[in-house]
Amino acid sequence: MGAKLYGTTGKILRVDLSKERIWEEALDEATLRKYFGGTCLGAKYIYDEVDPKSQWSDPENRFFVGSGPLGGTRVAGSGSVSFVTKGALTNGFASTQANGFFGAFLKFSGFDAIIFQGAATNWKYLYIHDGIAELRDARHLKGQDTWETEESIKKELEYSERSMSVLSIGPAGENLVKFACIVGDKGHVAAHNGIGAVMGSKKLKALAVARGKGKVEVKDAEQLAIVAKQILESAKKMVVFDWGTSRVISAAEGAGWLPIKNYNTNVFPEHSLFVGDRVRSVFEVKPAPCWACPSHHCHLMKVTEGPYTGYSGEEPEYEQWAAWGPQIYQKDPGAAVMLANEVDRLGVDCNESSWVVGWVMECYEKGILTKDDLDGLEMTWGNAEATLALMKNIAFRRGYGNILAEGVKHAAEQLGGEAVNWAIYTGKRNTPRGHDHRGRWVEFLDTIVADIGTYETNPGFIPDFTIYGLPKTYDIFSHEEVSTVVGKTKGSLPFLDSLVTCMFITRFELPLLCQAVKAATGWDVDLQEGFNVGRRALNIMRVFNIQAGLTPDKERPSARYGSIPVDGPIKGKDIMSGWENMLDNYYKLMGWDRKTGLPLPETLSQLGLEHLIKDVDRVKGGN
Amino acid sequence: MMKVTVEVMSWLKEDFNHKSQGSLVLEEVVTPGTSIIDLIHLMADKYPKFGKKVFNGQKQELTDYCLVILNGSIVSASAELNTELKEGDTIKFLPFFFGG
Repeated sequence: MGAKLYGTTGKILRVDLSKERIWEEALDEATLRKYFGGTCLGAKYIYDEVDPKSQWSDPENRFFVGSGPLGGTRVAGSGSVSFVTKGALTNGFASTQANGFFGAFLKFSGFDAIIFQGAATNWKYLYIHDGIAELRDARHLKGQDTWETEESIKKELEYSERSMSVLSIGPAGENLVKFACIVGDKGHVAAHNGIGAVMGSKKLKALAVARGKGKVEVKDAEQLAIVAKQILESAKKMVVFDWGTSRVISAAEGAGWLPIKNYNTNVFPEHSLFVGDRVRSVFEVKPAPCWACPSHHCHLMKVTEGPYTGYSGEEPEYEQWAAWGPQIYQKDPGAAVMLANEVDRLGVDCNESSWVVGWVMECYEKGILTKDDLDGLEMTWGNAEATLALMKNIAFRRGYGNILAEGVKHAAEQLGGEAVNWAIYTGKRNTPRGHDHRGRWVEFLDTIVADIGTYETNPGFIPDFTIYGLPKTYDIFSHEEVSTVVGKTKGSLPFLDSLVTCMFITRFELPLLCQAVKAATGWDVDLQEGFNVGRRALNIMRVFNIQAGLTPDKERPSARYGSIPVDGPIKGKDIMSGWENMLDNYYKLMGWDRKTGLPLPETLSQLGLEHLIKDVDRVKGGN
Repeated sequence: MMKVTVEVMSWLKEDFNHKSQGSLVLEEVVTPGTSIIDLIHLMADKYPKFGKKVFNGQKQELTDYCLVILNGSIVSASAELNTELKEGDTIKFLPFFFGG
């Protein structure tokens, strides 16, 4: 028997859906210290067990759901959960997170993570309570939306609202929509790279974990409390602590990074109707915090003006306001609340959805797509009811929705002609988050070179650039400075996602987080070791993705994504004029070969990933 | 002397003791030759809450707290902060916020 472990349960739950078999697997301390949990641990398992050349929908794909060493502790925001798999949109790595309660409850139930393999014959859901896991029939839940599914499961298992956490897919996941998401705790969404479709391909409708009576035993509770307080003090310095992301929309419009009318303009005076200062005073709001979180981020919201008066749901996050307001040129915040919640309930990623809808609206305006093409829908700019109907057609793969369900890149290429130039996507088939990245070059580069379908760093949440050897500030429109910031900070976000904490609370307080890990686990983790966990995850994913065909030639934006803004504060800013230089600098800083995209042997060795070198050599040799 | 307009956006208004919705518009009279960075120093002296956040320590170094827009165009390079202002210029101060 090994030494006693702290901050971790030392166990993962394995579920073979094909064989309806469930078993426990022990995690040794060396593995845990090397990979921590969440994203990095998930990356290890996916790499070890999934053929990179296989399809995401192959039953042999693994679906990893995990907490981390801080999960369920008194560190605020430690109820989050990380999902890692081969994603449906890019057919490469997916790593995406949801806040809420699931991660904490999973640890209380005695598991750091769950790994699913195989595919069920009929719809199932997994029920975990006090260390016991069972697969249950979910045929009666088929067709239910994500909120209905959560309510149905809690009702049939007789759990109250906060005594159980449920993650589920909606109709979109069931119908293998390539950008289907997973929704937990009524409104917390793991959105990126079609992970909802992966669940759907396994006929796994939901995961339900009871609050249980277990606790996470930490090494030094007193020290962890001190560090948790320091982390909280840092969080309070950010606007998000008091306002969530609701206040961001006006700052985004002012700085030119609000996505407006499918990147056709950068001016949207109506931003002031959507901003938190206004909507939180006009609409009815009620706090709905996550596990152990004292911030004023998450709220429920009831619309009190306009045609959607009386509609209740979760307060949209910034990306939902952006998606269902300016991106589709829709000017009623009440309608945005309705669309944000209805799309969540269908189980579709709001970001990809809004690029799809914005592109359809532009095609409709220009006469390329007609009412007849669109199953009778009049897709004029800002038409909220038509948008909802279109999203339902996508979720159920009806009519033209069946083509759109493959994502905006696929739909645009199917239609062909000039319409391809109006779609926003990358060569890897992923899309930006709810921003106009032509005004945010850091995220532009990050999104395009990413191996997970979305960000792998987020410098906006870095309190101190100097720990990365960077100056305190940088020029946001300098090709060289931006690519240096991305190259040097990459790894920060997967580090957080391997601890599985909420970015809005823990920010990128890497030194403090290392102290928290030490207090929780007893491991004397320094900054470099912590940062290397994130870099390790990225390098594993990179070697896998190159084998999956996501090669450097795909690291380019679509014509519209890389276009030059024509008005507003970022008018004339041209990232593409220095694109190749940015890639050169980025690859150099990552320790990757510019031509093949593969990590150099010394990069892998420095990260303790020598076992991947033979795979790299094989790929270089053309096998 | 010359007049310039200073527009303060979003939650930065709170540093200027302005709590109502919409932007805060100030008319400032400055001497010819005043640069953008000079104006930031002036505003930092006038509004200490802003000054404390926009500069590190003894006002030697700007933080990344504030994004500056001159006549509708973002000032991103530090050298551009030495640009001299002209009569009628509009300078916007925005939160330097990325993410969300």
